[in-house]
Amino acid sequence: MHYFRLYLQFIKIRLTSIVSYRGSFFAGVIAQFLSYGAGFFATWLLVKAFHELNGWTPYEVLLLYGMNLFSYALAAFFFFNLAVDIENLVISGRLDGILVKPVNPFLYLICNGFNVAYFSHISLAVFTMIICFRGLGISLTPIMLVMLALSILGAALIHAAALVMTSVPAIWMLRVRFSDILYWGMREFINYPLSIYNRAVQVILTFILPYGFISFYPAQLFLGKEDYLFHPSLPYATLPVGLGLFFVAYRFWRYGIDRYQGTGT
Amino acid sequence: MSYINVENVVKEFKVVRREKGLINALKSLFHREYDIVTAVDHISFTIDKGELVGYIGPNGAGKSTTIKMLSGILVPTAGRITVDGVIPHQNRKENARRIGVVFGQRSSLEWDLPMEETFDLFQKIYRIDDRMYKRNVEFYVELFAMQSFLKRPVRQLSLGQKMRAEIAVALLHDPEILYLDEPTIGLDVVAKNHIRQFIKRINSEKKITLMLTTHDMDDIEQICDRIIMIDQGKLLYDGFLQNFKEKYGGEYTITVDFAYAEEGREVDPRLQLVSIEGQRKVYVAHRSVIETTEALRYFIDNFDVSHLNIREADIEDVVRNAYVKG
Repeated sequence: MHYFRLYLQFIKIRLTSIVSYRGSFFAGVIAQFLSYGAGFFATWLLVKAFHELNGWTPYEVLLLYGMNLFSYALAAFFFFNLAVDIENLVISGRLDGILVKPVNPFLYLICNGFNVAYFSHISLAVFTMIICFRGLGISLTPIMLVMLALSILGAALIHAAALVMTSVPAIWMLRVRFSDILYWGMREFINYPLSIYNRAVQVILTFILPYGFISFYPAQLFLGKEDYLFHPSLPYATLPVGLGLFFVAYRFWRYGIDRYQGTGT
Repeated sequence: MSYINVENVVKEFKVVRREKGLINALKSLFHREYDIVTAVDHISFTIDKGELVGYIGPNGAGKSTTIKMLSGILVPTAGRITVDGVIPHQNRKENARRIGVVFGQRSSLEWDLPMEETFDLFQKIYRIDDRMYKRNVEFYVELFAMQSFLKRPVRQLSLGQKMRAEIAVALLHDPEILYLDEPTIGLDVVAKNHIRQFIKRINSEKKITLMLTTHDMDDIEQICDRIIMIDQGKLLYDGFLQNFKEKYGGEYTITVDFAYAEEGREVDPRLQLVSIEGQRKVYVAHRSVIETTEALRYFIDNFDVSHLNIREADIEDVVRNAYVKG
C-alpha cells in the first residue's frame, strides 16, 4: 500500500515533467513507434517471402513477435529505469540518497521509474496480436484468454529477470557490456519459431537462457501447434519459469546492493 | 553505552588497478589486479544524544565513507557500529527512519518539482502522519525562509536555496540524528553563514544530534562544540573545540613582497621564515605569540613593503600541524 501510494505520486510527477517537456516527449514516442514499427515490418516481409517457416504461417510467426514485444514492453515499463539507469544512479550518487530512506530500494526504483514511453510498444504489440488472431480466424475462449494473460505475465517476468540480472554488475561499477549484448542479441532469436534452429540453440534457449518461454512455447498452445520440443508440457511452463527466474534475479540484485561500494565522495 | 558507537571500524575498498597503454588494457580484460585502499582505518568514537560534532579532515580523509557506514549504505570491513542500539547496515530501514542525511555534493530533490510538491513526496516516502507533516512544513519553511521559492521548480533555485531545501526535506520526518556531509560546500559567504545559523538552531531547538563533515575552518569554529579530526582514515583528534583551537589553531601565514631585496636584515624571531622566492618571503606565526595586527604593523613600520597578505590556517595546515605535534 505504501509503495502503491508512492507509485501514484511518482506517476503524477512524471506526468508533470512530460507537460513541461512536451516536445521531447512526443519526439520520443514517435521515434519508438518508428523503430519498433520497422522491426514489425521486417519480420512480416521476411515471413511473407518464405510463406511459411517450418510449418509456421506468417501470422503465426508474427504472433511470436507480438508476444515478445508485449511482454518486453511490460517488463521494461516497470524495470527499465531500475535496470538500465542504475549505472547513472551509482555514478551520480543518487543511489546513496535512496539507500538512506526507509524504503526497499528495489520497489522504490520501480515506483520512481514510471515511463510513459512504453505505451507505444504496448499498443503496437496489442495491435499485432489482434491482427494475428484475426488473420488466423482463432477466437480465444475465456480460458485461453486467461492462459494468454498468464503467459504474457510469465514472459514479462523472464524479460524483467534478464534486465535485472544484467544490471547487477553496474551496481559494482563494473561495466559489463557482454551481458547486455547477450541479452539484447538473444531477444532477436525468439521472433522466429524455436523449431527452425538446430538442437544446440534449442537447448540454450530452453534450459540456459530460457527465452523460448517468452513466445515460442506459449504460442504453441494458442495456435494448436504440435511441433513439441523436449516435452509437451513446456507450453504451460511460462509462468512458473518466469516466477522462478524473477525470484533468482531479485535475490541477485539484493546481493548486488549488499555489496555496493559507493563512489568515494 | 552511548547513542552512537563506532568501535575500531575499518573500511577497505577493492580498486581495480589500471595501467597505462593498450596492451595493459587488453590484459586487464582477462586478468585484473586489485589494490586495497583503506578509507577508514581503525576509527573509534562515541557520540551522545544532542551533541553537535564536526567531523573534519582534508579531502579524501574518509569522512564521507564514515557517514555512509553510519547511515547504513556501506558495510564496514571490520569493527562495529551501533546507532541507538541498532546496527545500521543490518537494519538499514529501521535506522533510516531515525536519521536524516544530506550530501552536500548531490541532490535528493526532484529537479522539475517545486518544493511544495517535494514535501508531499517525502511525506509519502517516510509515511509521515498529516499533523506532524503540517507542523514540520510550517516550521521549516519559516526557519529556512523558504516562502519566496516554494512554488519554483528546484532546477531554478540558487545553490543556497537548494541546500536549505535539502536540509528541510531531511528533517521532515523528525529524525533524531542528522548527518550533513559538506553542507556548505560551494556556497558563498552569506549563504554559508545562513546555513551555519540554521544548523545551530536545529541542534538547540529541536535537540537533534548532529554530525557534520567539513573541511571549512570557519564551519568548524562557528558551529561545532566538539571536533573529531581524521586524515587518511586515521583519527587524529577528538575533543572540545576550545582545546582544538588551543592545540592546533591560531596559526597564520604572512606573505610579504618587499620593495627592495632586504638582504641580511634580521626579522622579529616570533615570525618564522618558511620560504623565499625573489623579493617575496613567507612567514608563519602563531596568535598566542604575536597577534596578526602586531605582525602587520611590524612589517609596515620597519620595512618598505609593496604587498602584504595574511592567510589563516586551513584544514590542511591544521592536519599538518597535528602530525608535527602528535
